[in-house]
Amino acid sequence: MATPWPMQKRLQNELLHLQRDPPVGISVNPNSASSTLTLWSVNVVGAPGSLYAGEHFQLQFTFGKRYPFESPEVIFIGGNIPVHPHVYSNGHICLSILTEDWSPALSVQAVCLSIVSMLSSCTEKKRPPDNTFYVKTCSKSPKKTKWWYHDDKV
Amino acid sequence: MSATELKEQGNRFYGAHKYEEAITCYSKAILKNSSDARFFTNRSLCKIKLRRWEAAAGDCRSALELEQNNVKAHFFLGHALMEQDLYDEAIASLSKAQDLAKELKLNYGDDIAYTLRQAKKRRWSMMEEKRIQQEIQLQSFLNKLILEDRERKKAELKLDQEKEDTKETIEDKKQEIDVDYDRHMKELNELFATVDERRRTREVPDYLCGKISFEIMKDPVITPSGITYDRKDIEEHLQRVGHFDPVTRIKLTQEQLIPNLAMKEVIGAFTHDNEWVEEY
Repeated sequence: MATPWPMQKRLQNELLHLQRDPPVGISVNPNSASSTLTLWSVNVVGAPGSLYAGEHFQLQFTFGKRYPFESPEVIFIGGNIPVHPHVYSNGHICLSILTEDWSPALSVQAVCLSIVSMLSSCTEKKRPPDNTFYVKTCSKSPKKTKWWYHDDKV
Repeated sequence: MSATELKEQGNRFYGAHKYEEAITCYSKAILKNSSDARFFTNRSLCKIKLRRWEAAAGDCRSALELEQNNVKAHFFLGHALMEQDLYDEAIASLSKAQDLAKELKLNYGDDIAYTLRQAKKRRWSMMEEKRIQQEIQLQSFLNKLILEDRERKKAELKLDQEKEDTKETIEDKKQEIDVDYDRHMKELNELFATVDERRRTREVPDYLCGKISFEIMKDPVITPSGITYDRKDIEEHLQRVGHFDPVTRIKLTQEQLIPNLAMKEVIGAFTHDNEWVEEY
């Protein structure tokens, strides 16, 4: 009767919707989701016309017990980490909705679409300027990083 | 041993999941004092654990004869009846238990409400199964009627033949009839398929779901931005995340939340017509 935490049903709902009715360029492999739904991976394809057109990326979502009252941890994983000024080579993403601008009305789908749009608006494929330093010193979870959202142009 | 001591011994057995032994104790207690409803309700619960539904219901009825407003007796009776697929009676008993518990301010947590939802859902599934069977029968009956009517029409053509029609025109008319009737049958079967499809993709419409829980709302409240949330979720958001409307990000405090009674009525009507929504 009692679920481990109240919002597991929301995750089930999100997974079901994303499987049944995914937006263009986003797909979820239901088998990739762990049984408690705390870990999923989502496949993302770069939008046509962008610098990443046709490239395949993999995002990993980790949900804490307080989701959706806290943001999920989202990182790029796998062999192809996009070269982008807000994406570190270890997969960490600098995106404000993943930390201080999170809202429980956002969802896995909304986060994926934001990330695709972040990739689409990029004009030059390059790593963040502090990539080497950050990757060497950062914590395992990007949620522990105190991000500076210095530019919102890209 | 006194009746009360026997009852206490029975309770200990119950606690240790030794239901048969507990039943023996309660039965002995009843022999000593047959006017205490608790002996019957306790014994009934043991029988429920042992899945002896009919016997459990019997004990509840004895308890109710002694004490007609015994909440546990109504509750356990409802449970036992549900397990015997007697849903209407089960729902009546469980509703009575729920009302009494509210009236007497007894706290059964979500237990009664949970069993009631379960009974409603099972009744709904049973009726749904019946409806499906009836529709299948109706569909094959109508298909048969169409086929028979087509043959009748063709037979009439043969009779007319003796008058003026040539062989060719008869053949043409036959083909016309075939085309017409094939179309009718196709339309009919499509109509049934739509009904069936709608049934298989049963979903709660998004506009009845909270913007945080993504589930049908129980206590909808509206914010000054005009967005509706389930009260418990938006309150949790205000406490844990921050004082803003999650969708519009406009400043928001708890006092600004207003019950959305119209939405509550709509949800009530939807739930009433779609008992499958009631969850376990």
